[in-house]
Amino acid sequence: MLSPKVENLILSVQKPGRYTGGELNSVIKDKDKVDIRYAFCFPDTYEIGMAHLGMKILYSLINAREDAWCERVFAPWVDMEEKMRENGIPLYALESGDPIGDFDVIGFTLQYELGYTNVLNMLSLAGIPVRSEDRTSLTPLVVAGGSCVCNGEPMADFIDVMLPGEGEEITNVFLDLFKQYKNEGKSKREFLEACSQIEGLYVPSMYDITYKDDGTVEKIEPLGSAPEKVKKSVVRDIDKMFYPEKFVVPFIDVVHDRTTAEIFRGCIRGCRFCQAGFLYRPIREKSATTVDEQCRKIYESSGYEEISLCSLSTSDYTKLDELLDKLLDWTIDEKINISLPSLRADNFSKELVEKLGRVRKSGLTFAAEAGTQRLRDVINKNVTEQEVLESARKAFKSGWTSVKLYFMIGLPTETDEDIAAIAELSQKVVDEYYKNEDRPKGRGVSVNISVASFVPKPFTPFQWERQDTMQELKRKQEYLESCIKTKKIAVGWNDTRISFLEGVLARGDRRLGKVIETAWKKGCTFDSWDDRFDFDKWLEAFEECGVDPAFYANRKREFNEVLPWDHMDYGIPKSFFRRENEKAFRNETTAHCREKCNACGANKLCGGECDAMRQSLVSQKRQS
Amino acid sequence: MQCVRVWFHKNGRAKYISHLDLMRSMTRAVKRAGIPLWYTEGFNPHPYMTFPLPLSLGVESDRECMDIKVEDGMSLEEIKKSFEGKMPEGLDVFDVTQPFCDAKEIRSAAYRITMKFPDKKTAEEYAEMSKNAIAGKCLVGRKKGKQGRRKVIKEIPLEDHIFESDFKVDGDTLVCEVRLSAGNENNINPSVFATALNEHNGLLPEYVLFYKIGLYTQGTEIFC
Repeated sequence: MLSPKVENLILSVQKPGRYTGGELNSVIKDKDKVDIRYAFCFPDTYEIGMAHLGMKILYSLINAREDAWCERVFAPWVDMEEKMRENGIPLYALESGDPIGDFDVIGFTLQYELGYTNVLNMLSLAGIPVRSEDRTSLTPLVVAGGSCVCNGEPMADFIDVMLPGEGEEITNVFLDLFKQYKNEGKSKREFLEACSQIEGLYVPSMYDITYKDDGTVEKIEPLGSAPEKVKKSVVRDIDKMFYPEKFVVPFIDVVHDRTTAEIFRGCIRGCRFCQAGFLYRPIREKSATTVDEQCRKIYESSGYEEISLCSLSTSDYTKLDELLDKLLDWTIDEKINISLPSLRADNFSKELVEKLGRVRKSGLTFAAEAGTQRLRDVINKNVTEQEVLESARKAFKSGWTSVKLYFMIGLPTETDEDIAAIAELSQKVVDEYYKNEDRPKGRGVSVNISVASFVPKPFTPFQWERQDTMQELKRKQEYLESCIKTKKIAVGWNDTRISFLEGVLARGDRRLGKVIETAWKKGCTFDSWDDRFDFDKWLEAFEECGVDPAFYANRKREFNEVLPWDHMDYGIPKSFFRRENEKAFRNETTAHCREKCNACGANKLCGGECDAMRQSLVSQKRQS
Repeated sequence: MQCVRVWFHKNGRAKYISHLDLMRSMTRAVKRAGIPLWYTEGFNPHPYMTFPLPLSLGVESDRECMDIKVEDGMSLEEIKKSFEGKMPEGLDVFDVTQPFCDAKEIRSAAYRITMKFPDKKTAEEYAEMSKNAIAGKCLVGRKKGKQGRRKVIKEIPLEDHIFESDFKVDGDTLVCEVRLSAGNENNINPSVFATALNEHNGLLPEYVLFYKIGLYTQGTEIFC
């Protein structure tokens, strides 16, 4: 329920629907009948956060417990924040309208590094001290999960407990323990010590970090009985894993407002720049029947007009044909559109295009990532130019007149030749369109290329590499622009300053905590929003804290350097990444997991089993 | 294919749903209800759904309606039943009828405007000044409009658009019931009326609540 104070000002801000709650399928409970009040916080706007699948899963999962009530909280936009501070309204949860400062657990999902200042801002709006050490009682306990937690060190000063890996099982373990300690009246210290003993929970304050004179990490030392290595959580059987039957259906227009079904977790590809491809290993698929049933349940409870099949590489799903047949059986009559994000250019079939074209045409995107074959080999993006052009040809034949291509600049070993090749490849895609005799009369083609700046990330073979400086990236962007000769190709860029900051935070250590806090105090929030990003304030913050950002972003690390995230165990040893790194510099590719197992070690997380390993054995037997 | 009129409430937090968002929510609600919508037969089929008179943002109502086209085969009672338990908070469907009146026939709408003041004296003062303003025909409403591409503020003398009005003071609260022009032409938003009063009286209530009582065709014939 909205408080009268909020009601009074809500019509004077943009998009009041962000702040009202009351959406279909949002969960209302009696607060006196639960033991745990959980505020699930997404450190960005409502429209962005409501698209996040992880939140939908954990929201339903926590609310399935009788003893807990999970509510949603988003970062209020600047206009609302101003009004809230003016009128003394603390940050509240959407379901109950209650201030989250009174909740038991405040859980953040850290999806991207540029949301860090928003975490601090949301805590402060809630009237909660931002630093973990300043919160002495057990509640509210501030926890965090999400992919950034693989190196959560820059946020270590602010978060009490981190949950690396997949949340579906560990969340319940954690809440059971929390409830027990809360009911027994135990202290925060006692609880944190207990957490550190549980696999899948990371308590930053139980580790002591020392640094060498040259600024690199000397040692990461566990305190008390905390383990040397913190293992990520993994769900072994994702087919039987909890999945929501209902999604909260927003009133206002949000990003990805649709039924989303996860078809598999992990990835077989091993692209060397891609953090997600390694963080979520090993690959585990859901059955087509399970996905079909989950889609149907969510459709029936939401009325969504679109279904999106979600994974890191949709066309690698071995049961895609079976699933599409099942879905098309009922979605055509209901006029539901099916969208397949993350298609690969090398196994994009004509039948697939036809099946999708039967309902409504959505956009097509191909990720080529680099312009030349040599560089694509370096990053292990095993796609050939022929495959990209073939996919474009198929798409144009099926009536598409616009395609999107993804590229990166700033990759290791990159030369100007590689950059010019981005323009050449895009031009060849344009040419494919005009080779097609059946193209619609009088209609041009538009090829949108999105060129991201490469940011080296932890838990990838490129985790030791230097990131291009802002000046280098800027020059490369300008060079690429000069290579494009037609208006049929439109280029989209990243702000190089934002990529730089992302790079600093991604591979940062605990010394960045005070920089983040200083930048936030100077007014930095919503750093991923171009119109809000204030780079000068960040530079001032680095200066004032005596921290050199280039040390984190633009420095090549030695293989034997202790990395700030070395105590985190995501199932893949450093030796594997090193091997892959060395292969990259020899322009050697690595076959995908179903062709040949490369012994990354992630199968051990699931007791030695791995879907891809089984399948690669089958295909090897067939060949012999 | 049949055209039916769906009657619903728009209460509580639901009053903050804008018209565009309401359309999307209603399309989904109809789909959840399993009602066989009739789709247009064009290149990009879409369901037919119109609102005879959209409700302004922030106004509550217990008598809103929308018209939808449904494939034959379901009775009005069955359609009404299928909405049960499928609606978001504050948007319950309470009746499904045939559309008797045409949306073009709408001429006026009645509202209840509740204004809270610091004390009884101010509320009474405000009521007195308001009555005089209406009697003296000196209220001017301001509406945002466009002249070509330019955004302009249009001034509308309200005397021809206020039919009946009544002011009651209860403690520090003033309740105003007023019937204003409504429909395709000359639609007066109740907040335009309230702002005109504020400007004329030179007083600002602490908060204002808007409630729509009903829609009328000629005179006080109820729109149904």
